[in-house]
Amino acid sequence: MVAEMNKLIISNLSCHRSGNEIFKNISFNLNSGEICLLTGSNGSGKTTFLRALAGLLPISFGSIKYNNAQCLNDNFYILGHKLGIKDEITPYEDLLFWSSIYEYENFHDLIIMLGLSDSKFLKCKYLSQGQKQRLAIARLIISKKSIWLLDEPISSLDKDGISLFKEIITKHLKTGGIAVISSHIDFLKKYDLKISMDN
Amino acid sequence: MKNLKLIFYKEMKDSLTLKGSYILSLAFFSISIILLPIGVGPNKTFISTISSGLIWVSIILTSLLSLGNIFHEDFNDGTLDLYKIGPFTIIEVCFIKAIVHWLSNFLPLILIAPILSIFIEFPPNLLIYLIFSLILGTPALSFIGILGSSLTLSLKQHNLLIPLIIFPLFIPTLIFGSGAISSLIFVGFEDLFMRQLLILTGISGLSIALCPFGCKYILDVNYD
Repeated sequence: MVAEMNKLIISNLSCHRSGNEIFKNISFNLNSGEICLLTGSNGSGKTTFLRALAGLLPISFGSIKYNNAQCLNDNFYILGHKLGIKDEITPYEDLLFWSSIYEYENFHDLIIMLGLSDSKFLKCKYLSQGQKQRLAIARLIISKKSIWLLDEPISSLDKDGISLFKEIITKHLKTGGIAVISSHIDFLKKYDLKISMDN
Repeated sequence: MKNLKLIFYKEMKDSLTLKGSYILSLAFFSISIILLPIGVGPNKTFISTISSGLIWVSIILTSLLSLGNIFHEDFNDGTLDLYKIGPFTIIEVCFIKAIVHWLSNFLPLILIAPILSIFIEFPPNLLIYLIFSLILGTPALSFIGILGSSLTLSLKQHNLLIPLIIFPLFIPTLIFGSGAISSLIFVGFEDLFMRQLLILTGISGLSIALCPFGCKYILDVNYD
Protein backbone atom coordinates (compact mmCIF):
# COMPACT_ATOMS: atom_id res chain seq x y z
CA MET A 1 0.00 0.00 0.00
CA VAL A 2 1.41 3.38 -0.97
CA ALA A 3 0.82 5.94 1.75
CA GLU A 4 -0.68 9.28 0.74
CA MET A 5 1.92 12.07 0.70
CA ASN A 6 1.09 14.73 3.25
CA LYS A 7 3.08 17.73 4.35
CA LEU A 8 3.09 19.68 7.59
CA ILE A 9 4.58 23.16 7.31
CA ILE A 10 5.33 25.19 10.41
CA SER A 11 6.36 28.78 9.64
CA ASN A 12 7.77 31.29 12.12
CA LEU A 13 5.71 30.02 15.00
CA SER A 14 5.90 32.17 18.12
CA CYS A 15 4.00 31.98 21.36
CA HIS A 16 3.58 34.30 24.34
CA ARG A 17 1.96 33.48 27.64
CA SER A 18 1.19 36.15 30.24
CA GLY A 19 3.40 38.55 28.30
CA ASN A 20 6.42 36.22 28.32
CA GLU A 21 7.86 34.87 25.13
CA ILE A 22 7.89 31.07 25.33
CA PHE A 23 9.33 30.31 21.89
CA LYS A 24 10.02 32.33 18.78
CA ASN A 25 10.29 31.82 15.02
CA ILE A 26 10.16 28.04 14.91
CA SER A 27 9.94 26.80 11.34
CA PHE A 28 10.18 23.29 9.92
CA ASN A 29 8.54 20.95 7.44
CA LEU A 30 7.60 17.34 7.93
CA ASN A 31 6.44 14.95 5.23
CA SER A 32 4.44 11.76 5.58
CA GLY A 33 6.36 9.13 7.50
CA GLU A 34 8.67 11.63 9.19
CA ILE A 35 9.25 12.16 12.85
CA CYS A 36 10.58 15.16 14.76
CA LEU A 37 12.17 15.10 18.20
CA LEU A 38 11.88 18.13 20.45
CA THR A 39 14.54 18.40 23.10
CA GLY A 40 15.22 21.02 25.68
CA SER A 41 15.59 21.65 29.36
CA ASN A 42 12.65 21.91 31.73
CA GLY A 43 10.63 25.03 31.04
CA SER A 44 12.04 25.48 27.54
CA GLY A 45 8.55 25.41 26.03
CA LYS A 46 8.22 21.89 24.61
CA THR A 47 4.78 21.27 26.09
CA THR A 48 3.59 24.77 25.14
CA PHE A 49 4.81 24.21 21.58
CA LEU A 50 2.94 20.92 21.26
CA ARG A 51 -0.23 22.37 22.79
CA ALA A 52 -0.02 25.36 20.46
CA LEU A 53 0.35 23.01 17.48
CA ALA A 54 -2.73 21.11 18.62
CA GLY A 55 -4.70 24.34 18.76
CA LEU A 56 -5.10 24.22 22.53
CA LEU A 57 -3.11 27.43 23.05
CA PRO A 58 -3.22 30.53 20.88
CA ILE A 59 -0.14 31.26 18.78
CA SER A 60 1.16 34.83 18.64
CA PHE A 61 2.68 34.73 15.15
CA GLY A 62 3.28 32.28 12.36
CA SER A 63 1.24 29.64 10.62
CA ILE A 64 0.61 25.91 10.68
CA LYS A 65 -0.29 24.41 7.32
CA TYR A 66 -1.13 20.86 6.42
CA ASN A 67 -1.14 20.04 2.71
CA ASN A 68 -0.99 23.79 1.95
CA ALA A 69 -4.24 24.49 3.79
CA GLN A 70 -4.62 26.13 7.17
CA CYS A 71 -4.28 23.32 9.65
CA LEU A 72 -7.26 22.42 11.79
CA ASN A 73 -7.56 20.52 15.05
CA ASP A 74 -8.94 17.64 12.98
CA ASN A 75 -5.47 16.58 11.92
CA PHE A 76 -3.78 16.56 15.33
CA TYR A 77 -3.96 14.33 18.36
CA ILE A 78 -1.99 15.28 21.44
CA LEU A 79 -0.87 12.83 24.08
CA GLY A 80 0.13 15.09 26.92
CA HIS A 81 0.68 15.00 30.66
CA LYS A 82 -3.02 15.28 31.39
CA LEU A 83 -4.50 12.05 30.10
CA GLY A 84 -8.22 12.81 30.48
CA ILE A 85 -8.95 9.61 32.37
CA LYS A 86 -11.80 9.58 34.88
CA ASP A 87 -11.19 7.61 38.06
CA GLU A 88 -14.58 5.97 38.28
CA ILE A 89 -14.84 4.48 34.82
CA THR A 90 -13.11 1.38 33.47
CA PRO A 91 -10.65 1.26 30.54
CA TYR A 92 -13.26 -0.75 28.63
CA GLU A 93 -15.91 1.97 29.07
CA ASP A 94 -13.41 4.67 28.16
CA LEU A 95 -12.26 2.94 24.98
CA LEU A 96 -15.83 2.02 24.05
CA PHE A 97 -16.75 5.71 24.23
CA TRP A 98 -13.80 7.01 22.22
CA SER A 99 -13.95 4.20 19.65
CA SER A 100 -17.62 5.05 19.10
CA ILE A 101 -16.73 8.71 18.69
CA TYR A 102 -13.95 8.02 16.18
CA GLU A 103 -15.74 5.03 14.59
CA TYR A 104 -12.88 2.64 15.33
CA GLU A 105 -14.05 -0.94 15.23
CA ASN A 106 -11.30 -3.16 16.62
CA PHE A 107 -10.74 -1.67 20.04
CA HIS A 108 -10.96 -5.13 21.62
CA ASP A 109 -7.76 -6.04 19.78
CA LEU A 110 -6.17 -2.83 21.04
CA ILE A 111 -6.95 -3.79 24.62
CA ILE A 112 -5.12 -7.09 24.11
CA MET A 113 -2.25 -5.47 22.22
CA LEU A 114 -1.65 -2.88 24.93
CA GLY A 115 -1.78 -5.44 27.73
CA LEU A 116 -4.93 -4.06 29.32
CA SER A 117 -6.96 -7.30 29.15
CA ASP A 118 -6.65 -8.09 32.85
CA SER A 119 -7.50 -4.59 33.96
CA LYS A 120 -10.12 -3.62 31.41
CA PHE A 121 -12.98 -3.87 33.92
CA LEU A 122 -11.08 -2.27 36.79
CA LYS A 123 -11.90 1.31 37.66
CA CYS A 124 -9.20 3.62 36.33
CA LYS A 125 -8.38 4.86 39.82
CA TYR A 126 -6.87 1.42 40.50
CA LEU A 127 -4.62 1.50 37.42
CA SER A 128 -0.93 2.29 37.67
CA GLN A 129 0.40 5.36 35.85
CA GLY A 130 1.90 3.06 33.22
CA GLN A 131 -1.45 1.37 32.60
CA LYS A 132 -3.11 4.77 32.30
CA GLN A 133 -0.47 5.75 29.75
CA ARG A 134 -1.22 2.56 27.79
CA LEU A 135 -4.90 3.47 27.84
CA ALA A 136 -4.05 6.94 26.51
CA ILE A 137 -1.93 5.32 23.76
CA ALA A 138 -4.94 3.14 22.83
CA ARG A 139 -6.97 6.33 22.39
CA LEU A 140 -4.20 7.79 20.26
CA ILE A 141 -4.53 4.86 17.85
CA ILE A 142 -8.33 5.01 17.97
CA SER A 143 -8.30 8.67 16.92
CA LYS A 144 -6.94 7.75 13.45
CA LYS A 145 -5.40 11.25 13.26
CA SER A 146 -2.49 11.74 10.93
CA ILE A 147 -0.31 13.98 13.12
CA TRP A 148 0.63 12.73 16.58
CA LEU A 149 1.96 15.21 19.13
CA LEU A 150 3.55 13.22 21.92
CA ASP A 151 4.66 14.93 25.11
CA GLU A 152 7.01 12.68 27.09
CA PRO A 153 5.07 9.61 25.91
CA ILE A 154 7.27 6.97 27.53
CA SER A 155 7.79 8.61 30.91
CA SER A 156 5.57 6.09 32.73
CA LEU A 157 6.07 3.04 30.52
CA ASP A 158 8.07 -0.05 31.43
CA LYS A 159 10.55 -1.76 29.09
CA ASP A 160 7.87 -3.79 27.30
CA GLY A 161 5.67 -0.72 27.05
CA ILE A 162 8.47 1.28 25.44
CA SER A 163 9.22 -1.39 22.80
CA LEU A 164 5.48 -1.71 22.09
CA PHE A 165 5.22 2.05 21.73
CA LYS A 166 8.17 2.04 19.30
CA GLU A 167 6.30 -0.50 17.15
CA ILE A 168 3.16 1.62 17.26
CA ILE A 169 5.02 4.76 16.15
CA THR A 170 6.86 2.87 13.41
CA LYS A 171 3.56 1.53 12.08
CA HIS A 172 2.02 5.02 12.21
CA LEU A 173 4.90 6.46 10.20
CA LYS A 174 4.78 3.62 7.67
CA THR A 175 1.12 4.35 7.03
CA GLY A 176 1.89 7.96 6.18
CA GLY A 177 1.56 9.52 9.60
CA ILE A 178 3.65 12.31 11.10
CA ALA A 179 4.85 12.52 14.70
CA VAL A 180 6.35 15.29 16.83
CA ILE A 181 7.77 13.96 20.07
CA SER A 182 9.14 15.76 23.07
CA SER A 183 11.30 13.49 25.15
CA HIS A 184 14.37 13.58 27.37
CA ILE A 185 15.12 9.99 26.39
CA ASP A 186 16.25 9.28 22.86
CA PHE A 187 14.23 6.07 22.58
CA LEU A 188 13.97 5.80 18.78
CA LYS A 189 16.94 4.94 16.59
CA LYS A 190 16.32 7.55 13.94
CA TYR A 191 14.64 10.94 13.78
CA ASP A 192 14.15 12.91 10.61
CA LEU A 193 14.47 16.19 12.46
CA LYS A 194 15.73 17.26 15.86
CA ILE A 195 14.83 20.62 17.33
CA SER A 196 16.34 22.01 20.49
CA MET A 197 13.95 24.33 22.28
CA ASP A 198 16.85 25.78 24.27
CA ASN A 199 18.04 27.71 21.21
CA MET B 1 -25.61 13.81 15.90
CA LYS B 2 -24.41 10.36 16.97
CA ASN B 3 -21.37 11.90 18.65
CA LEU B 4 -23.51 14.40 20.49
CA LYS B 5 -25.66 11.59 21.87
CA LEU B 6 -22.53 9.75 23.01
CA ILE B 7 -21.18 12.84 24.75
CA PHE B 8 -24.57 13.44 26.32
CA TYR B 9 -24.69 9.91 27.77
CA LYS B 10 -21.08 10.16 28.97
CA GLU B 11 -21.64 13.54 30.60
CA MET B 12 -24.89 12.37 32.17
CA LYS B 13 -23.15 9.33 33.59
CA ASP B 14 -20.23 11.41 34.85
CA SER B 15 -22.61 13.88 36.43
CA LEU B 16 -24.76 11.27 38.18
CA THR B 17 -22.09 8.79 39.21
CA LEU B 18 -18.80 10.64 39.45
CA LYS B 19 -19.54 14.17 40.51
CA GLY B 20 -22.69 13.45 42.52
CA SER B 21 -23.26 17.18 42.89
CA TYR B 22 -27.02 16.68 42.57
CA ILE B 23 -27.08 15.02 46.00
CA LEU B 24 -25.42 18.04 47.60
CA SER B 25 -27.77 20.34 45.67
CA LEU B 26 -30.84 18.44 46.84
CA ALA B 27 -29.63 18.46 50.44
CA PHE B 28 -28.78 22.18 50.41
CA PHE B 29 -32.07 23.14 48.77
CA SER B 30 -34.12 21.02 51.18
CA ILE B 31 -32.33 22.34 54.26
CA SER B 32 -32.62 25.98 53.18
CA ILE B 33 -36.39 25.62 52.58
CA ILE B 34 -37.04 23.65 55.78
CA LEU B 35 -35.02 26.02 57.96
CA LEU B 36 -36.78 29.19 56.86
CA PRO B 37 -40.08 28.73 58.73
CA ILE B 38 -38.07 27.97 61.85
CA GLY B 39 -36.08 31.18 61.45
CA VAL B 40 -38.96 33.46 60.46
CA GLY B 41 -41.45 32.29 63.06
CA PRO B 42 -44.99 30.93 63.00
CA ASN B 43 -46.56 33.70 60.90
CA LYS B 44 -48.09 31.54 58.18
CA THR B 45 -49.46 34.42 56.11
CA PHE B 46 -46.05 36.10 55.96
CA ILE B 47 -44.26 32.89 55.00
CA SER B 48 -46.85 32.15 52.34
CA THR B 49 -46.42 35.66 50.91
CA ILE B 50 -42.66 35.27 50.44
CA SER B 51 -42.74 31.57 49.53
CA SER B 52 -42.30 31.96 45.76
CA GLY B 53 -39.35 34.31 46.20
CA LEU B 54 -37.87 31.97 48.74
CA ILE B 55 -38.02 28.98 46.40
CA TRP B 56 -36.40 30.95 43.59
CA VAL B 57 -33.66 32.40 45.83
CA SER B 58 -32.94 28.93 47.24
CA ILE B 59 -32.71 27.45 43.76
CA ILE B 60 -30.28 30.14 42.63
CA LEU B 61 -28.10 29.77 45.72
CA THR B 62 -28.14 26.00 45.32
CA SER B 63 -27.02 26.26 41.71
CA LEU B 64 -23.83 28.00 42.83
CA LEU B 65 -22.68 24.77 44.46
CA SER B 66 -22.48 22.93 41.16
CA LEU B 67 -21.76 25.61 38.55
CA GLY B 68 -18.06 25.79 39.36
CA ASN B 69 -17.55 22.16 38.46
CA ILE B 70 -19.04 22.18 34.98
CA PHE B 71 -15.66 22.61 33.29
CA HIS B 72 -13.14 22.70 36.13
CA GLU B 73 -12.65 18.95 36.62
CA ASP B 74 -12.56 18.23 32.89
CA PHE B 75 -9.98 20.98 32.44
CA ASN B 76 -7.78 19.67 35.24
CA ASP B 77 -7.79 16.02 34.17
CA GLY B 78 -7.37 16.72 30.43
CA THR B 79 -10.83 15.64 29.25
CA LEU B 80 -11.47 19.13 27.90
CA ASP B 81 -8.31 18.82 25.76
CA LEU B 82 -9.76 15.66 24.22
CA TYR B 83 -13.06 17.41 23.57
CA LYS B 84 -11.27 20.35 21.92
CA ILE B 85 -9.43 18.11 19.47
CA GLY B 86 -12.38 15.76 19.01
CA PRO B 87 -14.58 15.44 15.92
CA PHE B 88 -17.19 17.89 17.20
CA THR B 89 -17.24 21.58 18.00
CA ILE B 90 -16.70 22.95 21.48
CA ILE B 91 -20.00 24.84 21.08
CA GLU B 92 -21.77 21.49 20.98
CA VAL B 93 -19.90 20.36 24.08
CA CYS B 94 -20.87 23.58 25.92
CA PHE B 95 -24.49 23.09 24.90
CA ILE B 96 -24.54 19.50 26.12
CA LYS B 97 -22.80 20.38 29.37
CA ALA B 98 -25.43 23.03 30.13
CA ILE B 99 -28.27 20.62 29.37
CA VAL B 100 -26.68 17.91 31.51
CA HIS B 101 -26.21 20.43 34.33
CA TRP B 102 -29.88 21.36 34.13
CA LEU B 103 -31.05 17.74 34.05
CA SER B 104 -28.84 16.58 36.88
CA ASN B 105 -29.04 19.62 39.15
CA PHE B 106 -32.19 21.65 38.48
CA LEU B 107 -34.61 18.91 37.50
CA PRO B 108 -34.28 17.11 40.87
CA LEU B 109 -34.88 20.45 42.63
CA ILE B 110 -37.97 21.13 40.51
CA LEU B 111 -39.30 17.66 41.28
CA ILE B 112 -38.78 18.01 45.01
CA ALA B 113 -40.10 21.60 45.19
CA PRO B 114 -43.80 20.58 45.54
CA ILE B 115 -42.96 18.47 48.60
CA LEU B 116 -40.85 21.19 50.20
CA SER B 117 -43.50 23.81 49.45
CA ILE B 118 -45.57 22.32 52.29
CA PHE B 119 -43.03 23.68 54.79
CA ILE B 120 -43.37 27.26 53.54
CA GLU B 121 -47.15 27.37 53.20
CA PHE B 122 -47.04 27.71 49.43
CA PRO B 123 -50.62 27.72 48.08
CA PRO B 124 -51.21 24.14 46.77
CA ASN B 125 -53.46 25.37 43.96
CA LEU B 126 -50.51 27.33 42.48
CA LEU B 127 -48.02 24.46 42.53
CA ILE B 128 -48.48 23.67 38.86
CA TYR B 129 -47.70 27.31 37.98
CA LEU B 130 -44.61 27.25 40.18
CA ILE B 131 -43.30 24.12 38.47
CA PHE B 132 -44.10 25.62 35.09
CA SER B 133 -42.16 28.80 35.89
CA LEU B 134 -39.20 26.81 37.22
CA ILE B 135 -39.07 24.62 34.11
CA LEU B 136 -39.13 27.70 31.87
CA GLY B 137 -36.74 29.82 33.95
CA THR B 138 -34.01 27.54 35.26
CA PRO B 139 -32.47 26.65 31.86
CA ALA B 140 -31.24 30.26 31.78
CA LEU B 141 -29.33 29.62 35.01
CA SER B 142 -27.52 26.57 33.59
CA PHE B 143 -26.65 28.30 30.33
CA ILE B 144 -25.48 31.50 32.04
CA GLY B 145 -23.65 29.26 34.49
CA ILE B 146 -21.44 27.74 31.80
CA LEU B 147 -20.17 31.25 31.06
CA GLY B 148 -19.09 31.70 34.67
CA SER B 149 -17.62 28.23 34.80
CA SER B 150 -15.56 28.77 31.66
CA LEU B 151 -14.35 32.18 32.87
CA THR B 152 -12.96 30.70 36.09
CA LEU B 153 -11.66 27.55 34.42
CA SER B 154 -8.08 27.53 35.61
CA LEU B 155 -8.55 29.36 38.90
CA LYS B 156 -8.25 27.54 42.20
CA GLN B 157 -10.79 29.85 43.84
CA HIS B 158 -13.33 29.33 41.09
CA ASN B 159 -16.15 28.59 43.51
CA LEU B 160 -15.67 31.98 45.17
CA LEU B 161 -15.51 33.97 41.95
CA ILE B 162 -18.42 32.41 40.08
CA PRO B 163 -21.12 33.97 42.31
CA LEU B 164 -19.57 37.42 41.90
CA ILE B 165 -19.42 37.08 38.13
CA ILE B 166 -22.80 35.57 37.38
CA PHE B 167 -25.08 36.84 40.14
CA PRO B 168 -25.92 40.04 38.22
CA LEU B 169 -26.89 37.89 35.23
CA PHE B 170 -29.20 35.75 37.39
CA ILE B 171 -31.17 38.74 38.70
CA PRO B 172 -33.59 39.10 35.72
CA THR B 173 -34.48 35.41 36.00
CA LEU B 174 -35.04 35.81 39.73
CA ILE B 175 -37.21 38.92 39.31
CA PHE B 176 -39.46 37.48 36.61
CA GLY B 177 -39.52 33.92 37.97
CA SER B 178 -40.47 34.97 41.46
CA GLY B 179 -42.62 37.83 40.20
CA ALA B 180 -44.71 35.55 37.98
CA ILE B 181 -45.79 33.41 40.93
CA SER B 182 -46.20 36.39 43.27
CA SER B 183 -48.62 37.92 40.78
CA LEU B 184 -50.83 34.86 41.28
CA ILE B 185 -50.50 34.88 45.07
CA PHE B 186 -51.63 38.51 45.27
CA VAL B 187 -55.19 38.55 44.00
CA GLY B 188 -55.76 41.08 41.23
CA PHE B 189 -52.45 40.73 39.40
CA GLU B 190 -53.25 37.51 37.50
CA ASP B 191 -52.78 39.16 34.10
CA LEU B 192 -49.16 39.86 35.00
CA PHE B 193 -48.40 36.15 35.33
CA MET B 194 -48.48 35.40 31.63
CA ARG B 195 -46.40 38.46 30.74
CA GLN B 196 -43.72 37.64 33.28
CA LEU B 197 -43.69 34.01 32.19
CA LEU B 198 -43.15 35.09 28.60
CA ILE B 199 -40.23 37.31 29.60
CA LEU B 200 -38.81 34.41 31.64
CA THR B 201 -39.08 32.14 28.61
CA GLY B 202 -37.41 34.81 26.50
CA ILE B 203 -34.47 35.04 28.91
CA SER B 204 -34.04 31.27 28.82
CA GLY B 205 -34.33 31.20 25.03
CA LEU B 206 -31.73 33.92 24.63
CA SER B 207 -29.39 32.19 27.07
CA ILE B 208 -29.73 28.87 25.25
CA ALA B 209 -29.09 30.56 21.91
CA LEU B 210 -26.15 32.77 22.90
CA CYS B 211 -24.32 31.33 25.90
CA PRO B 212 -22.72 28.29 24.17
CA PHE B 213 -21.14 30.69 21.64
CA GLY B 214 -19.92 33.00 24.41
CA CYS B 215 -18.61 30.00 26.28
CA LYS B 216 -16.70 28.80 23.21
CA TYR B 217 -15.10 32.23 22.84
CA ILE B 218 -14.11 32.29 26.52
CA LEU B 219 -12.66 28.77 26.30
CA ASP B 220 -10.59 29.84 23.30
CA VAL B 221 -9.04 32.86 25.00
CA ASN B 222 -8.99 31.60 28.58
CA TYR B 223 -7.60 28.13 27.92
CA ASP B 224 -4.25 28.43 29.63
